Amino acid sequence: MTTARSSTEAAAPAPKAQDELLVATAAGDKAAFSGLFLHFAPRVKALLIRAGSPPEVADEIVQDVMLTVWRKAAEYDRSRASAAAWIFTIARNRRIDLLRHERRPEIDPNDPELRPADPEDAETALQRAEIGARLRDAIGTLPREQEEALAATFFNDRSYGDYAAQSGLPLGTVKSRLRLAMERLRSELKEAH
Amino acid sequence: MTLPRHHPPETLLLEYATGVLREAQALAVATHLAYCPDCRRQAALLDELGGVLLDTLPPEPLAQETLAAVVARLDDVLAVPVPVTRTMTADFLGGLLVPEPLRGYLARLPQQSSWTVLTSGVEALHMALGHAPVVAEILKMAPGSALPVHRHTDQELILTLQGAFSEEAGPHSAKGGCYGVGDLGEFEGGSTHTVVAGKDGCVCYRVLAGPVERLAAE
Repeated sequence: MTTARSSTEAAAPAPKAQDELLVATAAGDKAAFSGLFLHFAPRVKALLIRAGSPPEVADEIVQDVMLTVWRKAAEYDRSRASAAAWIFTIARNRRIDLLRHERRPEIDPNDPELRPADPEDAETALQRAEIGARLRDAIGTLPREQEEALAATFFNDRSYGDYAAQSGLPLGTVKSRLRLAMERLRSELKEAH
Repeated sequence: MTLPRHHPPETLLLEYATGVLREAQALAVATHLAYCPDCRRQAALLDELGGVLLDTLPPEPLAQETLAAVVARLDDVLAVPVPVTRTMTADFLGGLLVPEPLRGYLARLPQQSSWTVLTSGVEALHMALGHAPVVAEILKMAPGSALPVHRHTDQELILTLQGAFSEEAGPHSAKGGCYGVGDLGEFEGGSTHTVVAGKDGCVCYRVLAGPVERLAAE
């Protein structure tokens, strides 16, 4: 597979700039939306193809995902999530809806029945941005087989059992690699504080 | 209010974050999140991880005109009003308040849904989620009532919504413990156990991924 870099790649927005583009999109800024589109739409397509969508289907879903981003941008809260994480969740949820015809059950952040977090634990937007950056670095330090297990888990719409069967690994091995990967990531995040 | 003590294992949270988990099971995990700030933080971290992985994927080119085509549609995409969340009581649960997303699922149950008796003191309200052999239901257990020793052929998830139950491990199960409001129990296929309601009874949401075999009392 070739990874030809187009001119838009050179100007890939940094995470903080992505968050700002999404906030501007919420205010109806089409240029900001276009900026998000150029960066994320080809990546959402890559995600869908990895999950097994034929390219034509992926093209349709990408458009649906990006229109959903536009429609829901006002719900984005940068103190809760990065733009990349938020767009990841939109892509995941549209995929579940369109390809599996299921609802995605999620909490309602404004639900009065939501058990509140200890205010001392509340993460500020700044800490949250740090988490993203730390995660990015930490992923690079994972042993290859753990990184593969993690990426396969996120991008292939398959259970661990299917992944285990396909890769010829025992299910216990797959689960323990994922656990190790998460332990590693968490300990890297702890060191950040 | 005390916070939950029984949480979904990390692999289950990960399956929820990636979207692999099917709807009935995802509903149990998501509703646990409403009760559990710790797991909400974990789930948010996993979403961030998804974001980082998405951001670092090698892009797949789109047809050049795609952006223009999407931008041309932006004005047509009418802002869909955010659904109003009412603090409604689920009629089926006699005024018991449960958080979203389960509350919405209960509100959408057909009016003619009814309780069926599973065993003495234990009733179930079937929720049409998932396909056989998956069973998703609300369990209502009278004080001290029990689901006698049984074996699960596949995974079971139980989320307590009111009261508490204690779970006694059978000969092939390692766990056991008391599950109060917000606690999520995951019992793997092959496990054998007994579930006994606490002194005030309990209401739970549970998902069975496969059939249950009743075993003769020992």
